[in-house]
Amino acid sequence: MARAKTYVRPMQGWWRRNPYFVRYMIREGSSVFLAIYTVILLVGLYRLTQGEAAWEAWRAALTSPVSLVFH
Amino acid sequence: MADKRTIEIEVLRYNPEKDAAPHFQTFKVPFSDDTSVLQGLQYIKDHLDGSLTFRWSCRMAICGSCGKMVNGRPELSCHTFLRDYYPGPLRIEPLNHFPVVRDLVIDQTDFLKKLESIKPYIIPREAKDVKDGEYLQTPGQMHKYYQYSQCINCLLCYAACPQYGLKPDFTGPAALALLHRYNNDSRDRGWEERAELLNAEEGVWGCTLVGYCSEVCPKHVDPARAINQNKVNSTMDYFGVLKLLMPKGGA
Repeated sequence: MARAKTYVRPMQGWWRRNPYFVRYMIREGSSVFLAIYTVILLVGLYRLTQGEAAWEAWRAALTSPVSLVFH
Repeated sequence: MADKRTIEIEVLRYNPEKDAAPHFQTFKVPFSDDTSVLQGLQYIKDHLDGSLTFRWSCRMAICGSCGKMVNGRPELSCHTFLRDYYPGPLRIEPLNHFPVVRDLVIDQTDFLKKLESIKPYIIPREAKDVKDGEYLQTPGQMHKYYQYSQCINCLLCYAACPQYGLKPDFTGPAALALLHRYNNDSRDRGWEERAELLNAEEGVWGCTLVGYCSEVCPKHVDPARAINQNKVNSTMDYFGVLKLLMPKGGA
């Protein structure tokens, strides 16, 4: 049987069409910050294994203005 | 006293024989407090333009035929009232993510294939002869799947699921909720037969928990819950835990 011609609507901009999807994208986007923070903590752990001086240097880096804004 | 209010309804029109792409057409529809969106469409068909095409049947939110996008939200049009959209305008489109056949009618073929693929019937735990009597079930056992058995296949959840729109191979909310319904039935032992579909990338792992499917479900089936419970089951199956816990294919 010949199939009827159909129209498939485009998905472009789908997440901007509904506030529910905007909130979903913000939720998903927050994972980027979580990933960045995981890296920061892992670096801290690595610096801890390198001795007290390295650990203190990492802690000092956390007090920088960039770090404070990020937090 | 007769209600004199009217509302503007913008309806998506598409005639595959004439149109390259759909367009909107506006109608002025009189309504009263108890006029549903479906009745609004029926008014257009009866009095303004007989060529308007849309599906409907029961008019009481049980057949699942009259799903439409109402102001961008998937709704059963018989279960949605014009009074809530006054003064309008109100925009009615076919359900999102499905190919449009004509006006508000969508092609359901893809869903029907998926529904069939999950084996939506009881695969008996033990073959029983009719003379051996019925399969018994406690209220507790029924409670485990009852909510998921309320699905009326209206496809609102597919229209709400951007993952299905972006990746049409995704089995989708309703089919996966029904898969969960049968797997959770104490009379059924078909989970192994359904496992390949469930564990696939197009199965439960295609879901990113947007959650809008459960939000729009008119029967409160909560397909997002069914799918995400099965992510746990799928993981246990991967590590062989499921077979260990249910050697005889328990529900």
